[in-house]
Amino acid sequence: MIQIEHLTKEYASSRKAVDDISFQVQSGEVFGFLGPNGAGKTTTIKILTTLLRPTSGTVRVAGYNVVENPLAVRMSFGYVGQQSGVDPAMTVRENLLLQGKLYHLPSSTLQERITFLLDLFDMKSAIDLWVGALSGGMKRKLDIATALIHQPKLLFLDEPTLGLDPQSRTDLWNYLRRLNREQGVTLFLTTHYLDEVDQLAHRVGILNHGKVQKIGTPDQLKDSLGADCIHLTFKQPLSEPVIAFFRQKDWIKEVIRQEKQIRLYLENGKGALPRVLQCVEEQGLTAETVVLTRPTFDDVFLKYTGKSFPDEDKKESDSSNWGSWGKKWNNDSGKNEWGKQWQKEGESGKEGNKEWPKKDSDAGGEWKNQWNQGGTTNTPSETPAKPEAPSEKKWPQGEWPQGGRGEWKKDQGWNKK
Amino acid sequence: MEQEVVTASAPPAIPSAPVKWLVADTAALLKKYLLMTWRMPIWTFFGLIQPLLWLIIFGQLFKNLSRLPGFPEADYIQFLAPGIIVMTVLFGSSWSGVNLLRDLTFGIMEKLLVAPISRTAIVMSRLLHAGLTVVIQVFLLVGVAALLGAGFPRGMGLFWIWVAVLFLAIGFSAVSNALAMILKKEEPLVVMGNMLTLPLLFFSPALVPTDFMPGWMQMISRINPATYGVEAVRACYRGAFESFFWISMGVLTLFMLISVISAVSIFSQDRS
Repeated sequence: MIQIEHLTKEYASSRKAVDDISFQVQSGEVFGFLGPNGAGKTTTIKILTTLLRPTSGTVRVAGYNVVENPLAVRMSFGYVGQQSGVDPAMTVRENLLLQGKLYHLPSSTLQERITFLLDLFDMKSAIDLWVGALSGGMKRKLDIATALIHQPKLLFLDEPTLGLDPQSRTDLWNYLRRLNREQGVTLFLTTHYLDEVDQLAHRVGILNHGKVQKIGTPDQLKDSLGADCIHLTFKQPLSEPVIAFFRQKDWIKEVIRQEKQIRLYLENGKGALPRVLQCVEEQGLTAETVVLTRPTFDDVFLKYTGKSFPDEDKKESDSSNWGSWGKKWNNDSGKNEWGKQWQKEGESGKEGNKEWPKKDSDAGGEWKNQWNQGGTTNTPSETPAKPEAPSEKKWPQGEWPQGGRGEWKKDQGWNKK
Repeated sequence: MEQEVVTASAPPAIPSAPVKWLVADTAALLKKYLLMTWRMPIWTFFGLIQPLLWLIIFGQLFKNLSRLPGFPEADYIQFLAPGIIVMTVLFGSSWSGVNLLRDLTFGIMEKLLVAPISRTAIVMSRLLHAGLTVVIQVFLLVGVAALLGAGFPRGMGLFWIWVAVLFLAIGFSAVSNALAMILKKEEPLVVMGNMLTLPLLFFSPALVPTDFMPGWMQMISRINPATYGVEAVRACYRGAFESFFWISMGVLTLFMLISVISAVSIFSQDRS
């Protein structure tokens, strides 16, 4: 469906937003494009949707070259942008009608499509409502419906759930799954939420600095790390033997060091915590702070972008039930201290919020510089952890919950704020 | 994987948008914009407030100007009305680009750009809309000016006023849209709009006859499209459809064509 070969996009400032990326998206696939703000996700999607011209490289969408044949490409896909592209000063019906006319549909086909799409998205009752009066979730659904007016086999979604409340997000996911499964629409979505690709995508590409760092299934990406993560901060930078000491332990899957900080990835972090502290003492060190968390996008990301220690032969699936938690990039606080925060199992934790050290603080290791270069340091990002590792199938075949939820109760556990 | 690449690499090429699409797309979008204006008529009236104030206040302030020897009209308001009509065009058109930026910010433009529609249609529908809105405003303004004593256009005057105003409005809207595409930000565009419209007005015979201007201002007024707008409208009021009227109309047509073509090309090329 999509073939990208050596795509590079340089802006006038000769900054490379996208730097020599190559990958393919198959027909019928849900492909998640994951990366922090400024990674080049939107640039890539804009090139794919003919909004931007590539500096070099070949891009084919639905078999057509985006540069040579933009019109054919435009007819082959639907596009849901970051902002809502529907006009708030018109009704739902008017928006759909206009969109259909712009795709030059004959009016009988257009009427059929409108009925079908409103039915698909459970929006029949909203047909004559003003778009301005719709809720964020409804507006998003209308956005998707308008993008599908010409029955495209490919749909681009640029951060589709940005700004939606958790309920609407889950709802939207269900509609997207249905679209992919029942209508066979290939989905290409960008996001910076790990749980979103977790829920939706068959394959994920991690993008940073305009380069694809890793492509794989969500499970592959997450399983490469353990279930839990322990951050330890020390007064002095750690010496190589100490790191080697931790790396020797067979119950630690992965060790990542950033000067004074060390991140240990392991199964059953709670149980391992005393052992970890014991090891710290054995080494004659005193930890300043200790934080136990779930590995998130940062960690996956860190693994594939920062210092990486591949150790992938141990794989277990841990289903400890963590509440959702968030983190905040904070640039205001001059303090360079990690709050000691213990997160209890099952708590839908707001207490998980913690402040990351200031970006120019001395604890800044390589990984943080990378984020900084990406221009993301000040951006709040929230990555709720997921309670259970997903099964092999992304969703149960043949079962489709009425009204968008129901079967997916387990989602709601971490859906709560 | 390989197979798909091979089979998909040679699909039938679809040439550029057919001409009938250009017309259909322009009509569909124009209909949308007109519907919006129809639903929010208040903005059309707001656009008239300033010109009306000028008409009344300037009409009173410079009332005695008409006593000066060599003044072309018996009554200053008769002289002023065509000037204020052109002013309405200038003020109204300068907002067209701001609306474009609004559509850009809200993602509405993005949605249009990914659709298989002609780029020209996107620009043309906006310009036609701006032109038609101004025509409605001018229709109302001519009525009010008549009540204030400016008289009515003679003969086919009303029709030609609309044509002149439409051309001028499309031309200036095109400039405003082109500036919007270049500047990409609302604030500088509004500042530019204000910076341009008032000088354009003062360097035209809208408020004072050209003969009364110092030589250097006369020079500038000759390259000012607004000048020809004012002259054309004034000729319509007088019923003097002589060679100068047709020259003015020609200049207006030329101005419109040049600015529309530049706006369309700037808009179509903006994919960097």
